[in-house]
Amino acid sequence: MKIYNVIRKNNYYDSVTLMLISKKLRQVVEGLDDVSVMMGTPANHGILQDANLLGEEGREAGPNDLIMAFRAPENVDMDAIVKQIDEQIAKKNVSGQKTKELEIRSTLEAYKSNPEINLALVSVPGEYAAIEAERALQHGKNVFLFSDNVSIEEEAALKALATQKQLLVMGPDCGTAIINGVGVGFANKVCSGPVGLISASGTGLQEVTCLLDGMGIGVSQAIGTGGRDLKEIIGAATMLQTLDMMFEDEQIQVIVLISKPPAQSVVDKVIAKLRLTNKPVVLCFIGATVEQVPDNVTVANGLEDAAIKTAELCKQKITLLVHEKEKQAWAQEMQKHFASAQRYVRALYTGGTLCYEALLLLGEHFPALYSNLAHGEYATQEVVVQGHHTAIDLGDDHFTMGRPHPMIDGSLRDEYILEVAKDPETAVLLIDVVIGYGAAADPAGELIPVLTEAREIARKNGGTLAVVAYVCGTVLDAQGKANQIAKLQQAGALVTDTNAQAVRVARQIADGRKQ
Amino acid sequence: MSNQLFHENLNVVNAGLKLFADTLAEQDVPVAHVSWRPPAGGNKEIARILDRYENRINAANDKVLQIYNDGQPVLIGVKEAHTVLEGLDEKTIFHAGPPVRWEQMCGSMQGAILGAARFEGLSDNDDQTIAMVKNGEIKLSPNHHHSAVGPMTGMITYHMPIFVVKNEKFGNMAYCAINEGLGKVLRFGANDKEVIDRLLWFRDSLGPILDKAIQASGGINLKVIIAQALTMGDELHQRNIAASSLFTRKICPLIAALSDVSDADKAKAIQFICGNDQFFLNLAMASAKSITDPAHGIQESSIVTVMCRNGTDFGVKVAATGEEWFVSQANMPEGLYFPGYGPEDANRDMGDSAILEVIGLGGVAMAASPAVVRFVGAGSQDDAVRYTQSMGSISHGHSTQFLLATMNFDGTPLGIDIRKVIENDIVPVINTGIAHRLPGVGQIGAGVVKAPHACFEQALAAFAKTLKD
Repeated sequence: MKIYNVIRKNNYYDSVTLMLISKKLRQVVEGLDDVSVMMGTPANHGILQDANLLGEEGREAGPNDLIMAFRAPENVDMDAIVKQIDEQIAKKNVSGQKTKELEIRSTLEAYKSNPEINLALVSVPGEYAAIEAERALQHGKNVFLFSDNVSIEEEAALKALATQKQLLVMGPDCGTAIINGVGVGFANKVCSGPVGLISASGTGLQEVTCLLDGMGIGVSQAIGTGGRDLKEIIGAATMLQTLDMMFEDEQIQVIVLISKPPAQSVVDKVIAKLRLTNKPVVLCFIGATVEQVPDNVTVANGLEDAAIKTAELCKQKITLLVHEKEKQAWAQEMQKHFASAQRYVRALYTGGTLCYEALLLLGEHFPALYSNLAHGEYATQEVVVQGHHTAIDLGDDHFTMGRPHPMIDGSLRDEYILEVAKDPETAVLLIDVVIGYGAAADPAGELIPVLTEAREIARKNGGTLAVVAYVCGTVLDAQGKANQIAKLQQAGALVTDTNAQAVRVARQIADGRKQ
Repeated sequence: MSNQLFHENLNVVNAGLKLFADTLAEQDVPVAHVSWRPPAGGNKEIARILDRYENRINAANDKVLQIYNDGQPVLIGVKEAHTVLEGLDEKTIFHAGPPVRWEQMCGSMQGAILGAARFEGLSDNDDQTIAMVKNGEIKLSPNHHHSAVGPMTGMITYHMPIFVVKNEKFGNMAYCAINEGLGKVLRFGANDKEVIDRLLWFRDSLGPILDKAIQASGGINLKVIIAQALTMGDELHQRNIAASSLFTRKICPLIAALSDVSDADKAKAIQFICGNDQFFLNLAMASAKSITDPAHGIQESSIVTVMCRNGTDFGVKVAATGEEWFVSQANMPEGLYFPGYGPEDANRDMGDSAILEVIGLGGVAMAASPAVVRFVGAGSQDDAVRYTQSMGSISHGHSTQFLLATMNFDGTPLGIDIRKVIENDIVPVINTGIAHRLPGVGQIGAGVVKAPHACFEQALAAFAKTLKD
């Protein structure tokens, strides 16, 4: 081995540049025992000496002279090596990465850096959700709390704090809102207009806003409260707060309230609040009626009815049920093709409240209806219960554990559709397709092959599968309502105009199969 | 005032599912997506305590920030250590970092201890020194227990001349030895005759000359030099060439004017000072120590007052927990190596110099010093700015005097907040030299090192316990 030193007089580079080049040289120049480039300062002489890289020429080099030092066999092509070193030095100006937007890792950081923030959208794991929601409130932000698994005590505390601070907590377990025309969470693109809605149910809110949009009635605000807001311990805190905001808001001329039936004490609270406004209000406690309401309050008994009553108050033509007769005729026609064992409705929903509505409407005719939304005797997690109708909410925790919600990724439902189709007792497959912000890009398109296969299974069993589908969405949604309907029809499904209508058609078929 | 949400344009922060941020962005709504992680590192109990006292903690942190910003470090002399340091007897050796026993020490630290004993003549040979350290006859104590700091091994012994820096705002003193230059030096654990001779010359000639010059000056404000150097490309930890030059301009004429020193001694002193690019490092460190010490014990403040390493462990102190150490294993530095050396030769992170990051210099001020950012494999000014911004996200505020020309004259991030370190899962980045793992070899490279996460976690748990109504 021999030490080679090549000097470039008065050729200054800073030490970092030279260290980087030296590192690179060790990687790319072959045939060398060691290599380094350094300025000829006294300290560097020492370092090169210690590394056994200092030769005679190097010793003569001064602080402004560049030393190219390497150790290599006697017969090495020195000129070729020096050329490579020169190339690396010439390449020294390796450009760095352009600064990317700095990642924000904490909501506190976001609140601090941007005081304009007025809404915190929280969908972190439930055990931390209350902490994040409280932080938002403490920093003066409204909260859209998508997370579930927040205890009801935590919810009560959050809402008490929110009331005190004049801020809204939408949630926990709130999926949908439309605020100032912006869809938050899972929401549909609707036209703007005179209606303000407050709902304790996510898909219920989507359904009514979509039905209104379909009749040309616009929405000003649609606020989700979370499913437990009307529980006694919460006392409709968010609904009452939002009502105050809607009473004051001049754009809102009709108010719609949607919830599962609450405790009487909460009903009383809400009714008392409604006495404070002259604005007309549609009150929809799904499946329950309310007695003794003030004159400005109209009671609706379901989502479809709420949309119709609202349209009446807006003096708009009711166009929702114009196709009811055609749908009934289709149901009648289907009766001819069933095999004798085919009796039952199997409903596979992605939207919780849509499933709940199905449960109520089917339940009117078939009390022995199994569902994961039912309690007691008829509770089940099975999509097929022998000898009975079933209505399953596939968005329930039991089904979504470790998997995306079926509204986001419809593949979860595919296997259940086939399971239902294979059951010789199934007559009707009842499904929803929810589109809009946050939903899958083409849920109906993804259903075509599985629906086709399902119907083929029934045909092979000597019967037919009646597929009744409802698309919850609007023509303004990115997925396109008309396009989604066409795809479902292409797969042989009957597509209805409301969820309730879909349930009625299914019910009609099942009635016909009674023996 | 009633809720005006219906009359405002939405401006959203999104914590959780990215999907929701995307749908808002689709609708042209301004939305900041948080790359969320559990608050307080997932400890809900601590998270709730910290949130509950947030305003009070922030107020206390404002106070500490004020202390840091108000500090006025002035170099007032160079004295033999025993004349100014309490707790330093002839057989005591001060060292860098948190407390450490001989058995746990890395090679460089052991080498430095042996060198320090030789310099002070404490034993007949190294074996005897080791025995005396083990049986407690030679006492070891961290610099930080005595308002002192030292780079790398950070040795301070009885007869060493040390810089005396006074924080004129608060009246407290801080101390640091004189920088020995590059090559074979005690701070990297070298301990041969060349090293000891240099230290003897410090004691007998350089120290007294510097002291006389400083006395003639009436005191030299170091904060001003630091601020100037920042705008000249130093970050004051890995790169001090501008600060050293500025200091040289002040001190050399004063030395030249001394009447009772020989020309030869003056020339040697001036030559040494001018020949050392890192000469100012030790002055910057003493400045930082003098700035941070008044914040010890400020109740309810979560701001870091000390970060230091002894080559084995990394230690942290926090304002509210006062003198309590939070310690975990020091990390390995990453960087570039001198010829003949590589990562396998490197020692764990070492030295008190991380006190500079505590006052917003070094890795925190990377934007000031694009030359230094290349040690971490990045190459651009943008990368340097990014480092500083990321340090900003774990800091309580900004320096009012240390300004960054490359960031529109923003102040450097100041006041590392342990809450934010844990919440953001970002640890302080420290610019550092790399020592050889064996004693006596010296510096083998330079780069950056991350402070270990664990000691901040411990600190946060202990801090939360101090919060009471």
